[in-house]
Order: sequence, then C-alpha cells, then structure tokens
Amino acid sequence: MTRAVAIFLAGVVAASIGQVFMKHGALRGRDRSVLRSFLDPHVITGYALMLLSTVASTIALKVLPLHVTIALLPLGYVVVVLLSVVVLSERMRRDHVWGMLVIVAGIVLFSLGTL
Amino acid sequence: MRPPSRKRLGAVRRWALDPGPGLERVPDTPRPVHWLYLLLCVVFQITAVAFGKTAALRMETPTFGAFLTSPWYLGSLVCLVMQAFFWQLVLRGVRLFVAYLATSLHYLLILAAGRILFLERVTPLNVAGVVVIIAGVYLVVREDLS
Repeated sequence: MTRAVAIFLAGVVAASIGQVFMKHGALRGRDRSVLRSFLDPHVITGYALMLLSTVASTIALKVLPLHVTIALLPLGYVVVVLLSVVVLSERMRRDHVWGMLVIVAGIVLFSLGTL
Repeated sequence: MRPPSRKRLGAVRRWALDPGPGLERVPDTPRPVHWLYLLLCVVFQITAVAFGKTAALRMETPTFGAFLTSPWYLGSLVCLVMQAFFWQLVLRGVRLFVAYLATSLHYLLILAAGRILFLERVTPLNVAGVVVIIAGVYLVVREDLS
C-alpha cells in the first residue's frame, strides 16, 4: 500500500505543478486569444502533467482503501497553495490560510459522509 | 544514462519559471467577469461529470465504439473543453491559489446534481461538509471580492 500512496502523492504533485505551468501559460498569453494560449508550451506541459496525474491516481486507487483516499484527497489544494506562494510568489494573508484549512476540513467532512 | 547536468537543469528551471517580458509586474486584480468565468468553470466541470455518469448508466457494454458514439460522453468531452477554455481566462486574472481553492465549490454542485438528477442519498455529513467548504471559500475570496 505504501507504493500506492507514493504513486497517488506523485500524481497530486504532478497535477499541482501542472497548475503552476498553466498559470504561467495564461499570464504569458494575456495579449493573445485564449485558443492560441493552448499552443503555449507551458500550457501544453501543464495539461500533460494533468494527464500523468490522472493515470497515477487511477493506478493508485485500484489498491488504496477508501479511508486513505479520503485523507489524501484534499492534499492537492494544499500543494497548489504552497506552490503558488513559493514558485509564483503570490501574496497570501492569514485569512487565506484559514480559508484553506476550513476548505480542507470541509472536504474531509464531506468525504466521511460518503463512507 | 547520464543524469542531466546542473547547467541543463538550470536552463529548464529558468524556462519553467520565466514570467515573460514585463509579466513579473502584472498585478492580479480580478474583475467581476473573472468570477463569472470561475463559476462557468465549475458548472462545466460538474456538467461533464453528470454527462459522464449518465453515459455510464446508459451504456450496456463499455466498448471503445460505444464511447465514441455516446452523445452523453461526447457532451461530457465538450464540457471539459469548455472548462479548460474558461480556466485559462480565470488564470489570466485571478491568483492561482485563490482560483484553485474556489473551485472546491464543485462539492456543492456535485451534491445537488447527485440528489436532483440521480436521486442519490445525501447524508448530514455531506451537507455539513459543503457548508464548511462554502465558509472556507468565502474566507479565501473575501479580499478579492471587496
């Protein structure tokens, strides 16, 4: 199961890095049409990473029990927030941190309701 | 296979993080239209899921041909394309972490769609979770909305 958790986490990280690439692509394509920004290498890389993440989670979810999946699901939000601050230097305030923690708690609560 | 040199890794890193000419000074100040794009993103995402679920329920044998000819799956794909289109527009004006955290609103729509369209069971914990998520999203977007 440790391997499945590692694969799932790798998928989460890949998807989060993909979002950072997409943000870069979106900013670089601000002066172009949206359709043309889909040809930006950053956006293409972003979607390739998303695809990789989908494959990784599909493999991992075959093995992972539901209670472990529920605990891991909101991690994507945390990783994207961390990358936004560290890599993109986005400004974050205390309210945002609380908001993120509340959302993560809400997702766990929601998922527990499906058990 | 030789590992990539430090110089090459540096070049990849510079390419990945290069903000482009002048873009390092672009402020992230969302306009009201960006929130509309975000809402459309969430709606298209959930519509894609609902179409996919309908296709799965109506498909007797899941073959490749059945996927290609199912109007529900094709509809689901169109919705995903629309979601990607609006996500690009969202990212042009909203900080990544704000936009990404706000997409957790799809839990509200997925709960409503499950209940209304597929008559799925909704538990008190599901509802409580959605209420908590909405409160969290409010905390995240409050500054950008004002």
